[in-house]
Formats: sequence, structure tokens, C-alpha cells
Amino acid sequence: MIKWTRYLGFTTLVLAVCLAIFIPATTWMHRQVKNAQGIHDSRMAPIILVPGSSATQNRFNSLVTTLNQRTQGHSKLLVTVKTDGTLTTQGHIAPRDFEPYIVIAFENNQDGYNNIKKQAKWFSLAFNELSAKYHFNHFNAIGHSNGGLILTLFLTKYAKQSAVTMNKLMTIGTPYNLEESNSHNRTQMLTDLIKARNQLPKSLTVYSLAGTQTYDDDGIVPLASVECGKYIFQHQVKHYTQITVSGDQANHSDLPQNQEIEGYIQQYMLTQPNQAGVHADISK
Amino acid sequence: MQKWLQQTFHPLMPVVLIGTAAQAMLFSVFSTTGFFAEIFNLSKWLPGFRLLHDGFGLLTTYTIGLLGLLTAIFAARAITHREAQHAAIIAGIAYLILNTSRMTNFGPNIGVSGLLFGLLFGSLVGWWFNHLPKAFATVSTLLLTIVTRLSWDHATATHVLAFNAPRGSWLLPLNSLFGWLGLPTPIDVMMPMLTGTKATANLNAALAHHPLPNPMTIGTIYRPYAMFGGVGMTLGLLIAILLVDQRVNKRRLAWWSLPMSLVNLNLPLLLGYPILLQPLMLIPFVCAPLASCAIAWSALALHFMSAAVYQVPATTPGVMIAWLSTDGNWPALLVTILCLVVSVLIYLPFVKKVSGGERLD
Repeated sequence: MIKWTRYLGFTTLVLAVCLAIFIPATTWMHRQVKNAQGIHDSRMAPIILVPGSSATQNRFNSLVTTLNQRTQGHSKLLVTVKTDGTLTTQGHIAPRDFEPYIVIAFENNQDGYNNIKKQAKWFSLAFNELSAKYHFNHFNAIGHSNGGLILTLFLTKYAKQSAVTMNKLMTIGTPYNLEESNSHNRTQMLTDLIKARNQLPKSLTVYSLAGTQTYDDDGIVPLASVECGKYIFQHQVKHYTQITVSGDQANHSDLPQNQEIEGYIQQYMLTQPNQAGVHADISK
Repeated sequence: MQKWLQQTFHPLMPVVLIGTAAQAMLFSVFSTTGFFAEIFNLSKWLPGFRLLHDGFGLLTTYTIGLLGLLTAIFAARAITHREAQHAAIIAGIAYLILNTSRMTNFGPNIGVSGLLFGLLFGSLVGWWFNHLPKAFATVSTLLLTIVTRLSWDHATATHVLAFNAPRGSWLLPLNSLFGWLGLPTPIDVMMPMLTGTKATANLNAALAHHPLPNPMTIGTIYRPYAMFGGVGMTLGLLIAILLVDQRVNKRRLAWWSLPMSLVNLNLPLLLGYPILLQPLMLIPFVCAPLASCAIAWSALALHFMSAAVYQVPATTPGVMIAWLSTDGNWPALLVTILCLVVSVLIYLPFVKKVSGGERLD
């Protein structure tokens, strides 16, 4: 009996010592790896903006102008992807600007699921070219309307092939269930996205912003369709936040110029709001 | 042969134990790159960290830092029939004369790396004293060493001797063989881990979420899975001793070497059990690491676990290296446990054989 309790005491002691080493060692290692990741990550982390259907590369000009009145030193590069996959660009990224805005629009900017799939493919082409040219390996992205769908599709389909990580995604008035206002009627696209959701990066933070003019929609996109984003992101990415904006300029087309939304972008998406010494001339 | 080794190393065991313990403290606790220093950030808050570092450093230097010299002295003492004291002193002086040369970097050395040279040299001097008159043996030994030392200096001046770190999978059995001979091992346990060019390429790929360019290297297989307790998977030996060896002195040795084995220092076991130059023990000493390598290689080839890429301190307990350097990969931990179990099983029959019939209480 005495021997038995001695063994038990001894085993407990050994286990306690093991845990006392094991746990701090593991947390220390996680910290080390995180630091190494931080050092490895490029300093350049652009904010990539994708407009919705029927919109051109100039869709976010007003947004960027406003943001640049509030912050300092973010230049703007406008990119349009042609149907053959080639790029035309306007503007440039200023030296020492580690957080420029890159707008990626499409020559074929039509609506429809088939077209959105094509646009996601074009986006990945442009993205790979830009990430190689400007040497970035992580970025944040903002998509307005269908732009959010293109980014989500890109994440599920193409992002794994590239070595670039999306840290944060903000979708503004993005119809995850297209025009369908009943979330029980899932469109083919939503079904596909839900099926492919396990491809989404686990470290991603997602903000889904919805506008409302009435209690149900922003004039074009039903609130229920935006809210369907939860079926894709919730329990899949690190954080998924849904924000509903109402009031002045809350209809679908005005959302990128909505004062509240501009505030959210400034607050959530800009990691280095004021970059001293960068001469970003975005008047062009 | 057995008696000679035993008589040489038995009186040295206290020095070896104290020295290795000091070395373990120095490397794992009181060095900024030590395992415990890193995980508990000891250098920042522990009072007297520098002082203790210096203290344990000195203690290490004056014990196992002199082990080559002490081995030469005690080997001469063990061999010589008459005038053993005198032969031992002459062997010590002669060994020191040899060590004034620049050759000490890769020749005889007064530290641990001079273990085999010390043993051979001391024995030679002892043999010399057994066959020649005392006065002649003394003078000739000293003269010969002085001449050798001078000619060596000439040799090093004319031939640039450069040892490149050898590579290739034949290194794996060779590492054990070198350890068994008492020579410095090509893959040293206290070498910084995962810092080479291949490991750096792996690390960069891992951080970029790319597939690894060099998944099968010494850094991803041998270091994390085949060096528990030091060269030769001696943690497996230690557990095997505690399981089946009934000899009280060997069990005590095993318990005392346990803390040092946890930070991969196995000199007490090597000299005390002993393994050094024991033909029978060479078999598990070579086979246990090879078996572990085979297991780890298979697990990597089958993509059962992720490869070790992240740098960890050399004094990280052997069984935690894989877990930490994969940043917490559970399959890697399972493979670690499997490797340990297999190495215990490999050592078991040999420990049984060595300890069999000898039940001295």
C-alpha cells in the first residue's frame, strides 16, 4: 500500500515537471515562429480594392481621396485586367509606401455567376503579376458588391497556389446569395462557395458590411443575401464580423462613399495610417 | 582490455559526473541560447545570471575540459605495473607538451575531444615504462614528444589541413562510431540546430507556405529523431537500464545521468556504463539511431508529419525537439515517442546481456 502511494506521488511529480517544461516551451516556440513570420513577411502590404459589376478602375477614387485627407502617404495604383489577361495600369506606387491602394478592375465587368468566375481568374492573374512585381507576400482586400464575391472566389480557388497571405477582407454590400432575398433558397454560387469554404485561410479576418435603405435591402442587394456570408465564413476564418449601416448614403452604389464605411476602412483596414516621408500624389 | 578501460575511467567518474552536470547547467540554463534560458527568459530576470554562467563555465573547463589530459594520466597509471605514479606524471607532462601545438585543434586535445588520443597516448607511455628502465623511459618519452611536437608544427605550417564538415547518409552510422571511439562526432549534439543553408531554405519556404525544398536532411531526421539523450539515442539505453539492469551502481549511474541526458549530454553513460570501446554495445549504439532515422524518414515520406524547420536550442530535451521544431505537430510527437520506444527495445537485449548473471547488491 505504501509502495503504491509512493509510485503515485512519483508519477504525479514527473508529470508536473514535464508539463512545467512542455507548456512554456510550446508557447515560447509559437512566439518564436510568429516573430520569424513577422520578419519574413514583406514590409509592403497593399490594400487591394475590387469594384463591383459595371464599375471601372475609377470606382474608388472618391473613397481614396477621402481616406487620404484623413491619413497620410498612401499612393494609388489603378489596374484594369483585359479579357486576354493583360494589364493596363495608371498611377504608381510611391517609394517607401508600404501600404498603397491597388484597385483591380476588369474590362469585362458584367454581372452573373459565370462572369464572376472569369473575373476571379483574371484577378488571380493580375494578382500574381503584381505580387511578383512589387514583392509583397501579404495584403488586405476590400471588395464592393460583386468585388467581394470575386475576392472570396479567389480565396477558395486560387489563393492556395500563391505564397501570398490575405490578412483581412472587407466586403461592402456583397450579395453572397446574389439577388435572392430568402436565405433558404441557396443559389448555385452560394452552394459552391460553402462547399469550398475549407479552402479559406484560417488566419483571415473578415468584415462584411451591409447597407440598408429599407429594412430589407440597400436598394439593390437584399440584406439577407449579404448575411448569407456567415454560411461561408463563420467557423471557418479567424474572425467574421457583420456590420449593418443605415442612414445617409446607405444605398448600394453610395456605400463606398458612406462616411461610416470610410471610417471603418480607416479603422480596420489601414495598419499604417500615417506614413511619414511618402509623397503620394494621387491627383492624377 | 576491459580491466584497462575500467581502471582508467573508474577513478575519473566523479570528475565526469560533476563536469557533465556543470556543462548541462551551463549550456541549458546559464547560456542565453540555452533551452531553459530561452523558454523562461532567464537572462532577463534571474539575478546573477552572468556570474553563474562564468562559474559553471569555469567548473566545466576545469573538469571535463581537462578530461583528455586526465585520461592520459590515468591510462598510464592503469597500465604501468611498477612506478605507476611516476609514469602517470610523465604521461601528463608529455601530453601537455604535445598540446602546446596548433595541432590541438584536431589532434590530441586536453579536453573531451582528446579522449581517445589521451587513452592511447597514456597507455603507450605506460607500456614504455613497463619495458624500459625508469630513467631511460622518462627521458626518451619527453624527448620524443618534444621532437614530435616540433615536427608537427612544421607539418601544419606546410600542409594546410582543413576538415570540411562531411556530408551524406553514411554519416549516420559514422557518427555513432566516432562517439563510441571517444572522438568528436561529425554531427555534434551541441551544434546549433537547423542553421545550415538547406535548413534556411526550408525555413523560408515554410514561412512562405511553400513546399519544402529539402525535406530529408540531417537537420530534419537525425537531429530531431535520433539524438535523444545524445549521440546513439542513449536516452533509450538509460530507460533500458532502469527497466532491466539490477546492478545497484549502474542504476545509480543511470539516475544521476538522467538530468544530463534530458539535455542530450551522455558522457557519464558513455564512460560509466560503459559504451566506449565496448564491442557489444557498439551494435545498439549504431542501430538505435539508424532505426529512428528509418522511422522518421518513412513518416516524412508518407507525409504523416510535417518536417522540422524551426530553430530550437541544442539543449532542447531530445523528445521535445521534433514537437518544437515543427511548431507543435502532433504526428511528429507520436513519431518521437515511437522512436524512443524502438530505441529502448533495441537496447534492452544488450543491457540484459551485459548485466546478466551479475547481481551485485
